[in-house]
Amino acid sequence: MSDSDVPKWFLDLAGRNTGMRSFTESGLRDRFGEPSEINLERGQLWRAGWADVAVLLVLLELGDGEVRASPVTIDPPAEDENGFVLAPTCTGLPTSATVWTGFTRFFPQRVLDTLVAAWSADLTTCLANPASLDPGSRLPVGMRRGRPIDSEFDHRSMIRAGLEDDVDQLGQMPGLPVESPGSSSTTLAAVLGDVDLAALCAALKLPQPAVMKLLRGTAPLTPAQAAVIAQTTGISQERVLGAVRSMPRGLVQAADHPRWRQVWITRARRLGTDETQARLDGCQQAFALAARQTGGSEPDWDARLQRALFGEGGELR
Amino acid sequence: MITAFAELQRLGHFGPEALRLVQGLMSEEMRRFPAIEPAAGWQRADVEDLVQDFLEQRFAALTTMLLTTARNDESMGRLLRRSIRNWLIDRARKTGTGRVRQLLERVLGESTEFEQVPPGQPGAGQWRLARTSSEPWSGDHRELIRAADAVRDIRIGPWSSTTRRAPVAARDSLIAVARAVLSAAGGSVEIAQLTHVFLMRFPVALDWAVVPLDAGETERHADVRTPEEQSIAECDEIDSAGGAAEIAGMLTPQERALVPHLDDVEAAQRVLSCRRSSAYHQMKRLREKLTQLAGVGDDRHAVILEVIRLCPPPSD
Repeated sequence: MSDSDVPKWFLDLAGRNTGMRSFTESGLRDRFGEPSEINLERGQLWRAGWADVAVLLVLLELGDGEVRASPVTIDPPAEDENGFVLAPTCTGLPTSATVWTGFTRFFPQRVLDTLVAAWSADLTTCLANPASLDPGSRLPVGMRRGRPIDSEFDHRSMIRAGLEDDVDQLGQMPGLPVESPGSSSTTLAAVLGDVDLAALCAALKLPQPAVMKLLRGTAPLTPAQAAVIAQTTGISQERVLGAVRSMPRGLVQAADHPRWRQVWITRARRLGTDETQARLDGCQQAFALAARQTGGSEPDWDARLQRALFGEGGELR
Repeated sequence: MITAFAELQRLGHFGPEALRLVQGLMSEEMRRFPAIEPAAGWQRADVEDLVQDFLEQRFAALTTMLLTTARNDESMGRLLRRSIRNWLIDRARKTGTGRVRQLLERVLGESTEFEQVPPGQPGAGQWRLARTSSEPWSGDHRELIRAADAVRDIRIGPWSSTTRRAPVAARDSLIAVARAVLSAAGGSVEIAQLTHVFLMRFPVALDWAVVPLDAGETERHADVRTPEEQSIAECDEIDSAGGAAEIAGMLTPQERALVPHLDDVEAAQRVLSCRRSSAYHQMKRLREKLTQLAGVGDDRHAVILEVIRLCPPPSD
């Protein structure tokens, strides 16, 4: 559609609604700084997403690698008796929004994508403890209880069901394998059994010492290498990937922080892979870097990721 | 070429690409809503009118939602489709009464049981039972809805088509409901009031149709009956068990499989192999259908329980 084909009513309409630039990516960066600089705080409103699911979440509580949050919707208009409707005066959004506190739950931090607003502490406290609000108690100005969905015949029950689908799907966003105390990873050598080492070296285009490290599990196996090994040995890629070394919890939590989200998305796009694999590859690089260094204290995983991913955006922070 | 998402991010509001995306999604989604289809069928101008109405009503909320929530073109398309569909549902509920009114006028006009009040008499143009001369009705419309709800032996046409509008009910059932309503009124009633009562009694008339979007969905709906397969027995006086058996016979195989799980969305998801929202939609339609068929008489509950007994869950 060329500009000359655009109807006048549409141009007039667009002309009356030009005050939302602060919610574009560049506008949000102006307001909140670079994504890599942002720290998680209660009351923040985040865009969250995975695959084609995208949902707003207001953070009510922070945990290790996860957040307790409620989904928030703006359009289509819908509400239920377990939630609250907030006027623009208390959200900073141009239109009213519904907070579905009935769907409050823990989400992995890796689902968080972009910070879009920050709400007041009073408002956040109310939303975090809706049960503490008596039915007759006064709510903050601009906040009201949601109206009940009268029957299953009301199509708003379907809007709610669709949101619940999205929330469920977000909660299932795959994470990286995490080391647990006392657990031992299966080595690649154990998975492969008798193996033609020369053929493996040729297929992986690696010298024998490097392949031996992979077999013994002293060097991390990347998903790409797992695919090559599966093809060469005839063993399923799933079994080969079973030998992927679990990551230290601190590294996984650092990589799951939303400050790294754009790095993983960009890396996945560049490598033609998905976000989980891009995150796994990047973490394995950082892990390999740490393995070469001495010292008994817990590494600064953010710094390791920054060094391993230099040039990919991680150096911004 | 810039995408709709990139354009939205650059402008901070909808531009020509976003408009084109809305037009495309609207022309797909509006076909799910036979209740608002113009008599002459959908025309290009209708899409433009709907798009303009939609954007004029929802522009600010829609732009805010997409700017804050969409992550890329895929999620923008998904979010936009959801908003358009829900707006069309609202529109169908508000403005889709014309079809029901036309249907009702035709049924009343063709039946010898009803007549229009002649010109010059109180309530001229209103409908009443034939050969009566009562005054125009002026009571509580909820009484008329209760009278309509009390009519139980509703027969319903098959929903075999995924592209034509869902039938309200069979002609003799519409006549039975009209008879009950006008008897309860005890006088003549405006067609607009009658239409409202019928829409309360038959909410599915304004519902959106299940239009398959992919092969998987087409397969799932393949077992819906065709009109030719539908055979509805005449039965003037039936007891609960008989009514239940008749109702069970009017359900499609898929609906019968769903009946035992009307209160269990997860089980319904397993039966239908679909997402929660789709399962809700199918459950809602089935409940509406059962309500239409069973009415709201004293034995309605017993009838529906009997239908559930007649449609046991498959044994593992």
